[in-house]
Amino acid sequence: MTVVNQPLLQQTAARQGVYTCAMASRPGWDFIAALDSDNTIALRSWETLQPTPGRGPLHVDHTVAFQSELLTALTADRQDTHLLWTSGPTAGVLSYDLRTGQVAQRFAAHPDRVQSFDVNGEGLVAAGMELRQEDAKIVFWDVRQAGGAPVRTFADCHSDDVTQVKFHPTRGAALATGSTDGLICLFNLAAAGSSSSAPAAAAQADSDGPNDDDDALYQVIKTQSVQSIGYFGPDDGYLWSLTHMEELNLFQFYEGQTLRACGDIRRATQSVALNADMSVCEEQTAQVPAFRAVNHGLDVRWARGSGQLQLWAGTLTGDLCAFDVGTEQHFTWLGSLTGGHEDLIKGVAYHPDREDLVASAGEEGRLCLWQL
Amino acid sequence: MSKVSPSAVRDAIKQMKDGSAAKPRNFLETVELQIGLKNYDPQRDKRFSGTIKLPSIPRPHLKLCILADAQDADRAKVIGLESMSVDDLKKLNKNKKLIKKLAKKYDAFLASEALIKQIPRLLGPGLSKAGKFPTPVSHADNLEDKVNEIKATIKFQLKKVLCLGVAVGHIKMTEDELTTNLMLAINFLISLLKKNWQNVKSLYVKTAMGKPVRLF
Repeated sequence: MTVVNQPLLQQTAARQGVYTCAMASRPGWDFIAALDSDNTIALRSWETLQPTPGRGPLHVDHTVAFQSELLTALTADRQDTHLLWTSGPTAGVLSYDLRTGQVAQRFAAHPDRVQSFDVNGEGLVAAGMELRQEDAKIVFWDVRQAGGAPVRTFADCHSDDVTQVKFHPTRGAALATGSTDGLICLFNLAAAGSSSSAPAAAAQADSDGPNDDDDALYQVIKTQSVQSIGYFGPDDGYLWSLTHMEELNLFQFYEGQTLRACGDIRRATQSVALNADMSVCEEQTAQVPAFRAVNHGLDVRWARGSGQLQLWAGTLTGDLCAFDVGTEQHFTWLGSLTGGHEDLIKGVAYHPDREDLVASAGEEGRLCLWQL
Repeated sequence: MSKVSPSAVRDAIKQMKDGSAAKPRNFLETVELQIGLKNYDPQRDKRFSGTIKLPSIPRPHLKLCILADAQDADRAKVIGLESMSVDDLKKLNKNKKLIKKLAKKYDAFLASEALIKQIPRLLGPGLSKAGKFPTPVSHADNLEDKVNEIKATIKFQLKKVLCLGVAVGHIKMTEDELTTNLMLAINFLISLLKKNWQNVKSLYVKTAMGKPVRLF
């Protein structure tokens, strides 16, 4: 892949004091769900990046406002194209029915504050909580169970905020969690104890109650404060993690053996291969845009079509840089997308059907659509 | 680019040391770095923790234990490091109270690489809950170096408030040692902030009981 001259396809206007902090899309959507820092969720067209009243198969003509409580995370449902999930510390985990624009379900475990969540393809919701007193919990709900009481609670596996909760894409009983305590925990929810726990665990979760972490937790990976984790590989048999110290680590999934410690990405991107023939660029030249100024990792993406594990990173001046993590010592530089943002990039989203289309959101309030 | 020069740090340390010498305490005072942040939204921006190894050990008295295979148990004995074997761990029988007690007895744990993958099955999540999941050690690692690395490692943690503090040394360290530790700690912290120096409102250094001296 080489640098395209005009990769910027769309750009929305800068906004004063409001920016998009999370985005989600999925196959079947011709829009991006975008959560803004003023707690509104807009469904924006992949073509124009504008909110899309009456466009597309969902006739999405609504902007969901949830002003009273902070929302921080957003994800599309894995099964139902009409469902969008979001969460906030006190709001809990919410699902929106995109046909009505109304909240469909809401799960909360006050006074625990939700930091992260995920929903598997079998209707199991898991939320990672902030540390409260001695517990940083992982709480589970079943969407089919009326009443919204938790079906299971793990309270012993982390000693600090649970920043990431990720179900395996195809094995619904496999769960990985990450925390600022520097641990990644791997769970097999099908392990013994899942039936015996039930609501009693939740009811007594504040005491030393019968939660069953012991049975489900089968492996712990010691790393640094976890920023994000995800699965990758043809069968999603691997795990990546980005730490708050901007280190990228790759693990084998089931047992958590380290596959590769790529180190600090700000250093690792100082000398990268410029193309797939691995001629490593050590010298800064005029032709090389600012991938050396990488400041923070944004996401790691498994690009199924090309079989690439891609690292997406941002610079202090709002440039977006992409690298193929590869299997060799050096990353391969895929391109730098410059001139779209003036401030830090907050997040990226990938077009569900076209691997070369990427949207980005900057702290100055703009959204940009790029073609790599 | 660092906005605090080593000479400014050295001056502040002198001032701090003078203060401490004028009012000696009958315990070893730690030296702390205190950081105030700005342009940071702890609700939306990342609330991180980060660890860095300093050249001079700030906390020499940490009590460590290695969960060891036979070879590492022998190596531990040589350097006076306490160790526990798989059999010792099995005796705890996954009893939560006993594991909690074990976690409380030490400040940090190491574990032989061959053993670490068995920890969740042997002990359950007890050590994780205590924030003391072991650091893996391979037979190729120098055990004493590993121990010193843990003792020399400090942790920055940003929570909901816009300030954080971390111990970077103690008052018995020389000016040089403190200056080096402080410079490293400051530069590392800055590298964790989303906009680096633009997020720093103030930097202070102080002893446990002393007055804060402003660095930035």
